[in-house]
Amino acid sequence: MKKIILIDSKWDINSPAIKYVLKASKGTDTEIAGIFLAGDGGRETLENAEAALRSVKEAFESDGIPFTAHVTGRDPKAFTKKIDDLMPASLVLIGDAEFSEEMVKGGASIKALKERLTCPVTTAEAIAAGEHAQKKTAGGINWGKFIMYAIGSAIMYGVFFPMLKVLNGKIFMTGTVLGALAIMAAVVIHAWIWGNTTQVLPKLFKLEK
Amino acid sequence: MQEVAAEAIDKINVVTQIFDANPWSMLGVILLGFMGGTLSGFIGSGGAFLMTPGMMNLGVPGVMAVGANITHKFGKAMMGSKKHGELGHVDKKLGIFLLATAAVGIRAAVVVNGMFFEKLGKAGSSLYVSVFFVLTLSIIGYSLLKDALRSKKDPDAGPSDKLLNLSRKFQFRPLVRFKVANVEVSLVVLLSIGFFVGYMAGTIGVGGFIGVPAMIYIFGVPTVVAAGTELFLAMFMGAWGAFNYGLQGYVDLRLTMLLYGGSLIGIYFGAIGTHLVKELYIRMVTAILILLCVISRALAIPEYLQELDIINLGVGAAAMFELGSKVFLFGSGIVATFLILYWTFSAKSREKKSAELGFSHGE
Repeated sequence: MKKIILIDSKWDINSPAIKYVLKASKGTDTEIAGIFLAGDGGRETLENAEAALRSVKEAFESDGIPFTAHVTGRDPKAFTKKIDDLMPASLVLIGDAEFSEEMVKGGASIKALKERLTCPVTTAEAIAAGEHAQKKTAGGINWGKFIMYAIGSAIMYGVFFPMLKVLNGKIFMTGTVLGALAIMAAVVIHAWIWGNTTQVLPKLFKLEK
Repeated sequence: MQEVAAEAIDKINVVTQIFDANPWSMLGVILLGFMGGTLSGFIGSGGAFLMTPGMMNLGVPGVMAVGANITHKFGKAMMGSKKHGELGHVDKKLGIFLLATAAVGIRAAVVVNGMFFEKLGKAGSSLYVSVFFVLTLSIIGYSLLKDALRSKKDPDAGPSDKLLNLSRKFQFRPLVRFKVANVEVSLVVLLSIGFFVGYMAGTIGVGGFIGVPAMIYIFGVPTVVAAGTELFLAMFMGAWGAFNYGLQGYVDLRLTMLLYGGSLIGIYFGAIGTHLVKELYIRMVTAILILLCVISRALAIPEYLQELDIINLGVGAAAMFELGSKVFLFGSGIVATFLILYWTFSAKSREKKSAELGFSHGE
């Protein structure tokens, strides 16, 4: 069974982070450990936290997703210990939670979590940005364009490159203004053609969608 | 006149002679391009600290290795700026001020580099580039490693403000205000740094390693604006450097094209790695690799000194230094590239697993 640790200070059932977790864990054999990052350790705050978590727990459990609720204050040591106790997890997601200066100084920041934990640590904003970027880069390979640039590259390396032995003496390495400008023009054209040919490689290796 | 003509013929033939003697050296240049491109995509700038000495290890004179590299940088920065336009983290005013003296620095570097080549030949040019490389990059590599180790101990540590506080003591008037970067810098300090960045870029093809830290630690520019402004600078500095080396006849396009052959493949993999691999790893790899390249270049120096009849090495010792230099450079480059690709692919596979849960990291 997979486990997602969700850290939030509001536990609003309509927040993007909670909606994501609900959607992602439905029917995927995943359990959720919800941590309420409370502003202070006051009795009223803790009671409010428990009430908020209870309603979220009900929502998750009604969809058949196991949910355990935990409340912690902003003491860096207590927070770190809570996270360590809940490990191992498949993902740590930070929703609407503010890490106080005291927490950051005490080594309980998002950056410190990313450095220390072996599982992915991410934020709701990062997920939204990631999805936005994916939409922007998605679209597959334009094979027509790729073939055109590949033919161009073949000409550059198969025809132009061998000719450079002669062309260097005639223009490129003559040490004249014309020679220097010709070098710049050739470099721009080659970088453009070859760069557009090779940019499909990450998609071919499935590193990019 | 005849001497000048002979010199021109020699410049044109030197790469042909290297390729004719050992056709595998072409593959070596492509491999250097791939390693340099992967690193460049991974660490944001650089790659030149590997490609320039690598070409020199294959027998290319220092001045021509730098010429090929700076020309390569120009085209690469153009391709990079295509993507960078979307970010908008560029202080163009700061870039233009730095560029004004960086252009003078590049020109000065081309003249000095060319002078060494013409007066002392291939060995003299390579010796000058190597000594400059060792002196400057050992300081940069050490500082980067120290900074990375500091971050390892304290992940939330920001950039050191020692240099910033020191530079504030030298705030000679007039001061220039930069809105995007939100800093006020002394014109004298600004122009001096610009000149040094240009001189370094023109001498060893590495400018970003001075430009970015200088903007952060000396001017107090936010990291993201410093990186963006550096890319803006790189394109113009690369263009100016390519033009100047071309004007002296030191650019052999075959080297540049072979570098592109590998670099424009590697750069995409490296760039993807930056989104998937922890920042601390990126900084550690950069620092260690720079220091290994420094060792490699230091090992190459005795060979040039022998060629110039300054020292006398035995045949065995000379061969050992040469081999050591090549092993350090290619070995560290191959290991670093392999590590980057391994981290990238394994992080992608981990990301795939979390995507099964409906998530993606946007770290």
